[in-house]
Amino acid sequence: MIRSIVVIIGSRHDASQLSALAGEPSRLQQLIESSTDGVSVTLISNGLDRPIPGLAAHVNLAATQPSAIDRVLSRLGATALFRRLATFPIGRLLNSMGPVDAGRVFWRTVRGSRDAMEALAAADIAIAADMPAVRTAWKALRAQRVTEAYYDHRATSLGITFGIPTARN
Amino acid sequence: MASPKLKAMTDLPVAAGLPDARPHVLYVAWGYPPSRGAGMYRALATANGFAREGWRVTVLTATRETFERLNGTDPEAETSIHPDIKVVRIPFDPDRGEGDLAKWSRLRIFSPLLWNGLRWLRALAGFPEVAYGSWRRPLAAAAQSIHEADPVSLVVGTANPNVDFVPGDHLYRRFGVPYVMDHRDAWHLNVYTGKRVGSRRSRSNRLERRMLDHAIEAWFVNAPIRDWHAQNHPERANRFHVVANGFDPAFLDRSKIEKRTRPADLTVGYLGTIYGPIPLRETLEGWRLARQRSSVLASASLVFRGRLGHFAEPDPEAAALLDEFRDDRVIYAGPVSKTQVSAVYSEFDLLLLIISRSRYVTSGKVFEYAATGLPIAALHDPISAATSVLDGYPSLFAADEVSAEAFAHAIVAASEFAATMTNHEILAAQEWAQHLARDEQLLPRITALSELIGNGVGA
Repeated sequence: MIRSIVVIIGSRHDASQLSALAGEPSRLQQLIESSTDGVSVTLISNGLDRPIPGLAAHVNLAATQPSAIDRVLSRLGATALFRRLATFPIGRLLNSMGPVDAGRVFWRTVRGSRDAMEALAAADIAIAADMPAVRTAWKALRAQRVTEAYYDHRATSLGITFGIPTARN
Repeated sequence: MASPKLKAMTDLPVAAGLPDARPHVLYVAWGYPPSRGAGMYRALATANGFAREGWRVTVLTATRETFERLNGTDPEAETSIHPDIKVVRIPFDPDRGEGDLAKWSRLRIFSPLLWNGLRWLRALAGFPEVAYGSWRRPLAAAAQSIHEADPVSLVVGTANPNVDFVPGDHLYRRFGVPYVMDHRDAWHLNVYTGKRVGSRRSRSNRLERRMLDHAIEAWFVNAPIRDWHAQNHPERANRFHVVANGFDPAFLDRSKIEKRTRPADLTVGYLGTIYGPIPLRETLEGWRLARQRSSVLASASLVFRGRLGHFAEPDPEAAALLDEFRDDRVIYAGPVSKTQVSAVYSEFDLLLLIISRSRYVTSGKVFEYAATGLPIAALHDPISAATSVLDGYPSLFAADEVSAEAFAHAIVAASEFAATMTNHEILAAQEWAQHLARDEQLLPRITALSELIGNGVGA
């Protein structure tokens, strides 16, 4: 049976910073290589513009309008405060617990996107490729949208150090 | 060659039911095969050295899964463990690096930073070493179990992590077992800046002082590091020894290098970890200049092999820098298993020795580089401890300072030599390097310890 994997990349970094030239094989790579019937890989990203051959679909949320909560928080100055706090260690700790933490913002963006939620619901396995994506993958697991969820930073090599075979020889 | 006392013990027939009379060393190393970390090779060689010299060896280390999670594995290195060595593996901080989100707590999801900070505080309460302190209790408990089941004659701990010294300290205080502290790095000397780490009165400084006070020996990888410790602990200086790193003949088939067929275009190589403190930018700019100045290098390539940084996740800054020089025929070809190094060296015509500026840094690769017999362009500050290791090496081309200009000069000189070198010259350089084999460094200490333990020290 073909397994469906959704890879989630939540950060808004430049795509080049999300590339791993080499290293240990990622969990995603291992899942692809161990699959006997092939895999279908869908990507949910926050603006990744790198072409990745072999993807079943790519839900790019870069152009998605911020959620109502995020618009309100921004007007209240929460985003500006976040930037200020991000410049020192205790501030970063406070940020990680606050409402404009990148993981929380990304999860609200995903929740507001029908395509992204359908991609999660259609997947067997969710792989968070960076920290901002972890909350989304964990939520998908808790809500039983997926049966397995992993944090696998090496999966950012997607499309660079390994391809996505659709069937095994 | 085992010491006479030990030889006598090992020659005793071990009849069924009788205890084995050979001394038993407990060797403690977090980074032991299949760990892919650079320090693993010293640990592997030391434990193997004790086994070859007739000791019964138990290695206390972390589970294989630990290395898969944290710093990567080199499974082939595990096949090099001496068959008589018993390896006891205990879990190390199972939460760290856990990828399965089903195992993440709500607190970790709520704030990974808070979760991590609380864990570090808990770990530091046990042992003053961030990220490794939580291993103190499991290590001490495991060491005690091993000793109770099969009394230990000597403990050797290799650091870092410094928590590896805990079993020695624990068995000494509880049972009077002697121990050796093997510093691959240094606990309270920053080997890059030469400054003391932390205050002299800090908890970890006091702990190290107490451990050094009772250690039967302490080993350091070069004389400058040993001398720094001797200055700080003059009353114990006679127990401090240099056990330098060295090349591992088992992993380096030098005949492959000697007999290789040289292609028309030179391949200039670097094999080692590529990380922050090495003068990578100066090297790459020097390479660019050298290619402009020497026709020998016009169609040559510079190939980097090794890990990008010390962690499983590649260092993005180093990756970006290498990528910036792609048009200058700079190639990054990934990490190499220790078992593959001969094949990699056989593809190189000359080597770039790129190391950070410090009188305390020797680097492990300097020994292996010399063992190949290939020409070496030494691209580092002459103050580096590696300078003395290569003093007298027949085909050395050393830069006199850290700058693109000086590096270019050394690269051009080494390349022009490499273009015409003969197998005879390679053989002569290999012969010169014979004294840098790792066993040549380890054997004197193992022999001395065999004598001491054979004479009942610590019994």
